[in-house]
Amino acid sequence: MNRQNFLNEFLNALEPISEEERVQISEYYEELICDGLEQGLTEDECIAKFGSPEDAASKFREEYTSETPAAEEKALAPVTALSDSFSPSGEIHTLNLNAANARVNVIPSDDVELSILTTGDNENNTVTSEVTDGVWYFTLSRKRDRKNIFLSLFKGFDNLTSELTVKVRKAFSARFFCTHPTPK
Amino acid sequence: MDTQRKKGILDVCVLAVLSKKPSYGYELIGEVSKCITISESTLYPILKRLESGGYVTTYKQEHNGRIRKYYRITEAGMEKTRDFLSEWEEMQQIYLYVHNLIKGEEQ
Repeated sequence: MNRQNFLNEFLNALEPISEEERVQISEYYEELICDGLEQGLTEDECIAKFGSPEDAASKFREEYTSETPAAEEKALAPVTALSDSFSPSGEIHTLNLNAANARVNVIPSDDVELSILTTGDNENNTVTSEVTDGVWYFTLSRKRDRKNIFLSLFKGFDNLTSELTVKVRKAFSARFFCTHPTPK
Repeated sequence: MDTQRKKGILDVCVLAVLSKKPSYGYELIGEVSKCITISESTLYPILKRLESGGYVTTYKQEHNGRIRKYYRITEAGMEKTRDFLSEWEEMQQIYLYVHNLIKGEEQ
């Protein structure tokens, strides 16, 4: 089986997936094959390591769905105040910050590297951090679980449960997108 | 090993490899395989999850005329490996306790 056949069958077995995901998954397997070839394997040997497209897809799905029990566990855990620090990789010229339900502090400084510290109810926050072409996309969002719905009914929708501290060099251009949750 | 238990452990193994230096898919599989079975199709969802959780960031770098995707551990990722170690110290206490009760009785 050649790489194109493998990828087609594998991706079809994973349906439904987004076009973006298709591309990323293809790139991942293409990269593994290229690295295998560089290590002296043949294309057939590389693909044989993946197993059949059906087996590979079922392993993939099994690992993908493993987030559910962990999320359930977290939802039951007590709310604790924690700090997490995030730093981007590479040179950054723009920070695209998207924070729901968080207070944002910006601290300009002469010497610090760009970083974001999240403080507060981190157990129920989801952070995504991605750098593309010098733009750091940082998103803080609230997990949607039963407890959050309960809490928001109790406290109203404008409770700020988290705090973001952005440390930034003085000569830095940043755009901030701060969104507020909209009641459903 | 119990698959449910293995899942969290694989995440930590990947982070442990990345704590030394940034790495890429093929190399990660080779490294992690030294201690636990991991397949290509298992690694991708793990990396995705670590990335969306803010435990790793990614960057792309040219290698032999093609693009390789590298993964770099974040401070949150380092914290997760430290949490794992302290959790397992507790587990070890429990292990010893259970071990002594069971094996002690047998003797």
